[in-house]
Amino acid sequence: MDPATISAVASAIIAAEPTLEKMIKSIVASFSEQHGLDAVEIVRQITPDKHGEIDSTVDAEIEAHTWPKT
Amino acid sequence: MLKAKSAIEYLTLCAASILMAAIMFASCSTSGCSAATTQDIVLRDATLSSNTNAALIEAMQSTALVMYRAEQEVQVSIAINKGETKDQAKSRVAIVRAQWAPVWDAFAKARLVHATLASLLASVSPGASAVQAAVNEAAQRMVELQAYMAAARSRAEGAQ
Repeated sequence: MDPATISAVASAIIAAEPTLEKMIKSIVASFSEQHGLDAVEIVRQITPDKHGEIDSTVDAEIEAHTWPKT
Repeated sequence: MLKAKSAIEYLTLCAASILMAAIMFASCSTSGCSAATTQDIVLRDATLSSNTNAALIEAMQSTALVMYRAEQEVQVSIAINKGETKDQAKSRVAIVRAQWAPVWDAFAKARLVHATLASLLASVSPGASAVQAAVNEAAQRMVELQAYMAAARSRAEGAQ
């Protein structure tokens, strides 16, 4: 994929992020209202971000490419 | 190089985050109120805040990972297109990683604060003041994360 396409894909996702946030807040607010929320259960853990896996992938791509010597 | 398949996988991950947020919230909430004391209200609001933050952090992490990878892939592509060496390509990628290091630290702190609050809420008789302090700390972390994400968005938009 060329840089412009990569940027376009990333931009589309980035642009969607504030909408995503509003959507989640809306889901929570709506659910609370409908159910007279008295939440007693708690989300205990958040998934680790795993950015190290992306580093490994990119490193492998760099290693796999044939680069000029100079 | 970033393949179309990878991009689709990440888009799918984002979509999955939305669903997961909804499912987590739905599965982690129950209805049925009794006469609420101040303590009950503090705990209920803290639980709501905690669960909402967890969903938001998951969603922000998914977006951040897409941006993180895309920024690195763009730099590798530029290095290839300019006929640069492997070391030059690695230097470009290292700059991106250095820019993102504080963001990953912020996510780690936010996860830790969330875990602390969740443990507190799950304890037998959590004190309202301790819970409120943890909620405030979590709120600060969310503000910090949102600022980092806004900065990353601006950087990505500036690179267009």
